[in-house]
Amino acid sequence: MSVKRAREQLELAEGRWQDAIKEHAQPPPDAGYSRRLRGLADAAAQEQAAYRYAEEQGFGWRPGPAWLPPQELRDAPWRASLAPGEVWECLDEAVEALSRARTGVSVVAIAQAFGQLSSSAWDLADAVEQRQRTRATRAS
Amino acid sequence: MAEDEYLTPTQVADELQVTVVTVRRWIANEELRARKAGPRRWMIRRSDLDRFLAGGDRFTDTAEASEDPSFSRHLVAPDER
Repeated sequence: MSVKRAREQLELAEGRWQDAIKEHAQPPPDAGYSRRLRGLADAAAQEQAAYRYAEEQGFGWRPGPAWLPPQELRDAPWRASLAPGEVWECLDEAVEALSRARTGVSVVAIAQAFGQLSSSAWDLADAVEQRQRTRATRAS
Repeated sequence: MAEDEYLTPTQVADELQVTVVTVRRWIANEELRARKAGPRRWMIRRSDLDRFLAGGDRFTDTAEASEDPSFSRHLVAPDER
């Protein structure tokens, strides 16, 4: 029964995750970037919970290919105008951790990496909005 | 040095927020490298734990990196392990 529940949770989480990733397919970012980042953060948090539960139910992990993030999450010249470099570095580290975990053998590493990505995407969304507010204040 | 630090299964479980039973299963499945330190006593080196979290000793051919966002296809059900 719990294995069945784990599968159901994974299916829901994976669907939401894939939808969130599709939203980031095309650069450059527009005004909806922080909203998309929060969607990604929420989806990654749901993945974290689903994989942690799956691990508790005894699921294992078969190594797969490293993961390449969609265009909008990759390094690009426009990044510096949106948020401080250290916030981007945290996102890059989280993406790298998730990519590396997919090549490994540990479900708990997958869950942790999704958690790291969720946290860093949320922080990046905060930073992007903060900079937008600062610019709006200066302009007015 | 941090790499020389040894952890008990309980410490690993606390750090990763999993049960000790889970840590023992990883050891039994040879997913997490551990050294026997006496009867019923296992110790895990910090560097082995880091390697496990980073991808494991059984790191295999990762082929080409992929944009495919599907992760769950790499899961192995308990009855397939």
